[in-house]
Amino acid sequence: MIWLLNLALLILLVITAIAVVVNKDLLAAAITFSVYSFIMAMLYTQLNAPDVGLAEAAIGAGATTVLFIIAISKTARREED
Amino acid sequence: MPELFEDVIVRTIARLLTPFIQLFALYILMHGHATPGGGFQAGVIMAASFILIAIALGLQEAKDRVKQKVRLPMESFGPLTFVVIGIICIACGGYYLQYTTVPLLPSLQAVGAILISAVEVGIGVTVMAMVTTIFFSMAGGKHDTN
Repeated sequence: MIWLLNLALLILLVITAIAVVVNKDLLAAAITFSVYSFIMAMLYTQLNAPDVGLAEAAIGAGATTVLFIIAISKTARREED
Repeated sequence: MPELFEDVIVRTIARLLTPFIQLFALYILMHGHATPGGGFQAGVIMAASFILIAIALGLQEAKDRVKQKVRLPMESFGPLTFVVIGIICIACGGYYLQYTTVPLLPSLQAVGAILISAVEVGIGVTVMAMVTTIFFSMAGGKHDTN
């Protein structure tokens, strides 16, 4: 039954990845990218790599998102075409 | 950095949560050789606690807790630990970072655990100082010298 959880996580991963690329609002994209990192951390833990999962949760969902948000607050929030 | 977020709930929760995050980081640091985790993850989690302080209580509060005077030596501490322990291992007749040659204790496993933990502490301290420095220098103003 664990494959159901893995399938749901992988589908969510693809959805969040597409949402990050498509979104024009960069703040929303940064927060969605944090969600992507968190799902990725859970998948790493599922794949018996808790070390990588811990690093991904701490860096990807924590530190990188804060740095992205600082960069957005210093530039523009909307992407221009 | 945007202006201070004046909310009593956010400030209180951040102030209460910070010691527990730091305790968790120390746990990951000291159990790194046996369980998942290690110096790098512990350093990032420790830095995340200071980032939380900076977001909730203001950038100046976080800078007062880890001053630049303290951070600069901490950034050099990790490579120094690596070099010193590696050279100790060479001086005892082994290869670089070959812990089992150090005649510190009769049990080889205990020597390995102690020296690995020492190297992990060095990595953790360096990563903590570097990540907080990157955050402070990005969040500060244009003429801000941390």
